[in-house]
Amino acid sequence: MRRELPSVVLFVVGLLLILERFLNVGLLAEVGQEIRTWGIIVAAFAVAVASMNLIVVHVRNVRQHKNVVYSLTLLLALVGMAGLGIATGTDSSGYKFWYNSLLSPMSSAMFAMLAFYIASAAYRAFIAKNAEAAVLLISAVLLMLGNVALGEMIHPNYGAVSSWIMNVPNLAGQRGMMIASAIGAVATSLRVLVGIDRTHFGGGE
Amino acid sequence: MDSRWRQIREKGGSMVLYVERLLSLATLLLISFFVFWGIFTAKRGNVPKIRRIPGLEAITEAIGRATELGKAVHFNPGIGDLTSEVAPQTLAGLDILTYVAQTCANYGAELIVTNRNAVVHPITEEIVRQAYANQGVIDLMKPETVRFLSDEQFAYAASAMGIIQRERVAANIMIGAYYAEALLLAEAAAQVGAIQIGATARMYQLPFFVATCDYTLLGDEMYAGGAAVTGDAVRLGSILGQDYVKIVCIVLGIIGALSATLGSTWLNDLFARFGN
Amino acid sequence: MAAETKGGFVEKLQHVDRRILYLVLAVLVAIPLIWPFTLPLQVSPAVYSLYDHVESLKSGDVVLMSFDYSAGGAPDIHPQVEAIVRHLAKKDGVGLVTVGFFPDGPMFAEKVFWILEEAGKTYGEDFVNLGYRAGGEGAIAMLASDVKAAFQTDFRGNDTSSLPLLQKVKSARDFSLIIEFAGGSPGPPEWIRQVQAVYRVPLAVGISTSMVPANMPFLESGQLISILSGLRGAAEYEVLLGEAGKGSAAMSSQTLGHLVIMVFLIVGNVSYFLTRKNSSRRIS
Repeated sequence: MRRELPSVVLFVVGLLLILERFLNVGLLAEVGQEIRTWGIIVAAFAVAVASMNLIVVHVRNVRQHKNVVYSLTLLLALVGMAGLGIATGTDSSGYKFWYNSLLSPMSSAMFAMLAFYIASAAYRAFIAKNAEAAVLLISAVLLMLGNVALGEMIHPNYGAVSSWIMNVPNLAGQRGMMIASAIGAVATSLRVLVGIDRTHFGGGE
Repeated sequence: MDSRWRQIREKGGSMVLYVERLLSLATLLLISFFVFWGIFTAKRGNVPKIRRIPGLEAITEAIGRATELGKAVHFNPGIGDLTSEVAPQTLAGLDILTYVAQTCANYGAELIVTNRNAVVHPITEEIVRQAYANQGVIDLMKPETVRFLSDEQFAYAASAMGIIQRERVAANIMIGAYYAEALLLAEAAAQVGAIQIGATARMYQLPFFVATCDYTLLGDEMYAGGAAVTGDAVRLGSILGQDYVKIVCIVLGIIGALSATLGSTWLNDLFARFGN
Repeated sequence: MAAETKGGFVEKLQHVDRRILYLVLAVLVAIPLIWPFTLPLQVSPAVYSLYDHVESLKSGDVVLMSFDYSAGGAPDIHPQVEAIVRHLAKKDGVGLVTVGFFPDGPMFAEKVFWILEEAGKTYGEDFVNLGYRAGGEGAIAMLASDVKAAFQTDFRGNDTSSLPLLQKVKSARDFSLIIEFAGGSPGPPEWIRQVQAVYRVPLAVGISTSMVPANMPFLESGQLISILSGLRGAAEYEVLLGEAGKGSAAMSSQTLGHLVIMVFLIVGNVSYFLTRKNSSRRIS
């Protein structure tokens, strides 16, 4: 029953959402919306459950004197921001201050690291060891030139080169992969819906 | 004709079926038919064979290498959830996690699973717990084996990078839905010399995996992963069904391209009108 | 000895310490920020398309902007927002409604409203910030079917049924143009599925550069009227506006950054081929 009941619930909910997509019935639309709302509520509770794991791991670290500073900082930030948000709301000046002063610049800094990491990854990986790697390297260089003003400095109509790469070979490849991935996603979802695949119940079938 | 379809769309309430989604429904039914036919055929003993996928074969090699070096294996099932359009990618990641956890338990390699999504976290915990229990090594599982790091994308990335670099993992396996943090994780692992296997169907991130990982599973190969590593007849049958659907798509693509070349866009118009 | 030394140096070029690469990159990216200079830029047809659409807006039209990016993606995407909002500020009688399906989204919307206020526009009459709604694609569908039902209060706590601008819009069909700024998911595919395909409203997107290749099929099929690609998209829009902004300023840095990467790529490849040639010479 532990696995059968969730499977039945999953099938019924999944079927309702599929029918809602194709049938113009007011009741189905309302039921679908209610299901999506409950999904958001379940996800919110899941964050609370997962946060417990986070707290357990880092309290353990503090007790075992392992990375104490980092773990204490995490615990203080977790409790502090959660408490501030609950007490004063997320549109309060205090919450916004901490968001704009800490989270926003740190997230931007992490995103900026991508520029450095792509540089080192490209330097390491884009070696023309074979024909495919050579094509990858050449198209990467041509596209990089087109993405910035360097292309225009070489020739005013350079944009046509990078446009061609984007609109012909890239588009063909993207479309093919998009279709194949979509078919794979539908097949996986169908298997889960009818209960053939039960990985989401935690291990095996 | 155009104004007639507009009237039908605007009428809305008097039509039970969304006419403009008829082709989408037909596509769904077509995929369902072929997938279930493939599964049915496989269950009757006609199990299809799929080609070698080097990335999947490398998983065992990677875990073996980690065991020899006495270092950890890092696994992440992507940062997607189980409710949006990336859910199938997360499920594919969880499929592979079952195999990875079993292999790690079998070899005695340390496994670290990091999660960004709170809903996925208890599922990964359960998968790993069951794998360890099946191998009789449940006592090897600690709270640090499966960790929820953060719901915030870059906070998760920073934390996972820290774990990868502090633990100096020997293998980094990333299978699921990834966003901008894919390159950060992959490059962090590359800097510690880990062998890397990456897979995602999010095309924005595939180029980064190709540039940084030793093995990359492209899009559809990720969905075949669970079938390939387990040899499960049902999953293999499903892949056969998917391939037949791809053949239909190829035929339609050729017909559409030829028609468009000859100056007729009837197929494009048909899908634009009924394929929403 | 000379050949060995030369081979050793050439081989070392393949394994330059990444910290040197990072340092060179950081220095060259910083130079244009300290000593700004501009470089010539061609405007792509996609950006022209959006510019023309905005230019053709008339008094009474309402534009919807969705802010679906977080702080991480903001440096790449926010300059596009500023450029377009500066254009909209010049259009008399054109309203702007903003919404966000990322938690940070509405805060980025608030950050650009000063441009509209400077142009004499008033909150509630000329622009409104609906705020954030959780639920991704489902929430987009809700907004599209009934704006005021999806957002009963706006980001500032006002009752949406009392705001003059929102009297003009009931559903997505009532917007003359929708522009989504996306750094992830929900992104263009979700908006196309739930809004463009159903309501046939012109939809443009401003996205980070890495997302462009995967969204090109939608531009080619006509489901999107325009794609603005990262900082370059912002810079191109500023060229059309005739006003330099953050996009143009950052393009010079981005150009030098790309140049560094290309130089190191060439160095790495030259070193690889010379090393291979040296080893085959040593063997023979």
